[in-house]
Amino acid sequence: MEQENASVLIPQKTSPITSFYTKPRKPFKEIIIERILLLLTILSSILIFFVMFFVISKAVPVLKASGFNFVFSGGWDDIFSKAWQAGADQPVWRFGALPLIAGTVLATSGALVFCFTFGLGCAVFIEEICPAWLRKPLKSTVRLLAAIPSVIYGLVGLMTVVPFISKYLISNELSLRMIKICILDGTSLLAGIIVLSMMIGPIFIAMAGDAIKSAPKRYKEASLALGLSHWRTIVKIILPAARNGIVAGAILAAGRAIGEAIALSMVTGSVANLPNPAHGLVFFLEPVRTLASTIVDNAEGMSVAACESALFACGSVLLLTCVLLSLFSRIVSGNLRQGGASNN
Amino acid sequence: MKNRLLVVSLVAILTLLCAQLAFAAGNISVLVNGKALSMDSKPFVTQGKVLVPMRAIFETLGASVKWDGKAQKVTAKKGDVEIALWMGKKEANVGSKSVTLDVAAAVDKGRTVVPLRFVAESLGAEVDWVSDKNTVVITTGGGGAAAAKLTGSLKMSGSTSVQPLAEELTQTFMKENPKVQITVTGGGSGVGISDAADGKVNIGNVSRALKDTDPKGLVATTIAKDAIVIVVNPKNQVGALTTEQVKKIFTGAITNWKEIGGKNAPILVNSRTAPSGTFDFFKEKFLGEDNVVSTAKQHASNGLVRQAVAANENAVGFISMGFVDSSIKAPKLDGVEPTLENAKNGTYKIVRPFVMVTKGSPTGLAKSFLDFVLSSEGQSIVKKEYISIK
Repeated sequence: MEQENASVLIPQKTSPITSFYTKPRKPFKEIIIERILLLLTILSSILIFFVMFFVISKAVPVLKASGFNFVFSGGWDDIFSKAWQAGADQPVWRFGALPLIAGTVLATSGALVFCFTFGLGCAVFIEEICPAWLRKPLKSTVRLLAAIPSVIYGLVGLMTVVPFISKYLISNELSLRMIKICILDGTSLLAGIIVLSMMIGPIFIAMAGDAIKSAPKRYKEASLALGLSHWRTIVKIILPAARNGIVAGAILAAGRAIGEAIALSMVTGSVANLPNPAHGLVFFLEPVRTLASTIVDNAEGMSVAACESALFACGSVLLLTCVLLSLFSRIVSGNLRQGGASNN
Repeated sequence: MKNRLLVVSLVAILTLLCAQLAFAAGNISVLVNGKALSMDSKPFVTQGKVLVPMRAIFETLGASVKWDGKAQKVTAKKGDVEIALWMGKKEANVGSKSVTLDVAAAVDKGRTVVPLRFVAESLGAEVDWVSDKNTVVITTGGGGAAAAKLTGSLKMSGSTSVQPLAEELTQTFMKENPKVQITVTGGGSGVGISDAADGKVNIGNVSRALKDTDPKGLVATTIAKDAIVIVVNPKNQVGALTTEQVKKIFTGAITNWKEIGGKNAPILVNSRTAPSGTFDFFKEKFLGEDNVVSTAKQHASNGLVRQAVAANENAVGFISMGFVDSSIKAPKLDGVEPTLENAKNGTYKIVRPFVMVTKGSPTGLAKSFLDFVLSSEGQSIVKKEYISIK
């Protein structure tokens, strides 16, 4: 057998063309392995649909009873405790998750703004400006940051960001003035935004960096040859050419931010409070709670059917948002290829 | 050279060990299901653990023993439970799970001795220490692996405070008895009592002692006790609170520490999420029909409340007594220091029993479950957050 295999291999190596035309029969082992891989692929894609079906089917009772009120009305904490205490004969099915959805949107979009401005700068520096010897260590540092588990970010945030905010941004008077509306103790929307942008920053930097790198070289060369400065080339030529890739990166980062539970549960304040923009900048110091952290915080309530269904309803809102975001990022990066930005 | 050193040190260690053992040896007797365990050498205590000759205990408990001299390893098998111990090592395996022992198995006067409690409990027996008689009482049957044959289903309802504990207990019980199905629902202590009296459930969970007005014929088994402590930051000057003040703080009527003898600073209220039994008890004892102020931070566990109070000078919260440590301060409540001792002797009032009630004396699966709850394994689950009754 060994001998035979070797003799088949040699002509392939020396004349690739003949081997291309006379397809040697695949060894049995390979066929088996390929079949197994196919099976696994099918299984994992079925799994995704199964998860979606499961989550949504569990969420149906609450979503059906609450309708659009689930998205547009508040009072989550009160309703949840009522649903928990209710007897089996009169369960509470109508929930309002507005503060949670608002908290999720605010924290995510805040983090996106943060990480878009700083992260884009970082990506441009790494790919275009940074001296060659520094590029590799910088890139691997960014990748390393992306691999840190979120609970670590949460812990660091809780030990550094939260005390910082409570010490330097919240005065005793402010806290006293706001005490009837909400508790200001440092765990806040701002802390959530900072921790989240730390978490999704590395992903965005890596994605944006790849997009910048894959902007066609010839554009850059042409621009420099025409006498534009390097800086102007970056702003006017490279970034526009990489635009779609950068947007796709931002969307993926948003997907991660929306689903983040543990870290935010630790730093955003664990109360379903709807921050009021009328309070000015204090808005950012008010506590919030996101959909994902609500699922973590209230998980103890799972044994009551209504509470369980309400948490799954939060989950299905998250799931749908993430699916939409992922589709959207596919469309955007699809445009990227059509736009001719790909260099192979 | 190296070998000799090894032998010398081994001998030294063994001599020391034996000396210590001989010193600690009292007259300990071991009763298995009421009968004295016959042993060819005396059991003894080391570091608070009773060690007995391996053969005697394993054979009495009906386990087969294998000795692997090369690995210095003892394997005992009973039913589908297999445990493995190594001489002089503090690790042991129960099934595929590895556990750390307080005291390793050893060789004493030519006999291999093993830690009694570990061995007996992993083989599904119950172990009790009667200290005034210097006697270890082992009961086989009932909970643990010996009860693996249990089948059927149980229904429980009642107190939402007992519910988390009941669920944790049932989960462990069901894991050990895969053919048993137990469902736990809430509703409150009242529901637990009426459901149990009506025969709708096998066990009613109640977070108070039974009263005269409760239906007749119910038998209560106290499974645990729970005490709750109000905690503040150690930097807080307030050293004593009254029940009335606590109520005002948590309902938002008092929002400044100044009003109760502290400095001019806001009171940051930390509460628990609704499903928490601790919250339920707190509400019952302090708030009655009133609700916690809606601005209160909601935490998912005692540990998180403690962390939040430890982190902020102006914070206040309530936690189960088992969670009190030096990172926070527990002010006197109505003049009483909230300590475990005061909770046990009844001076500290914020204590309540967790009771499981059955219609008549518990029988069948309900009895097996309650036996498990009262066993040292069940009580070790209780101990995690509540006051064990033993």
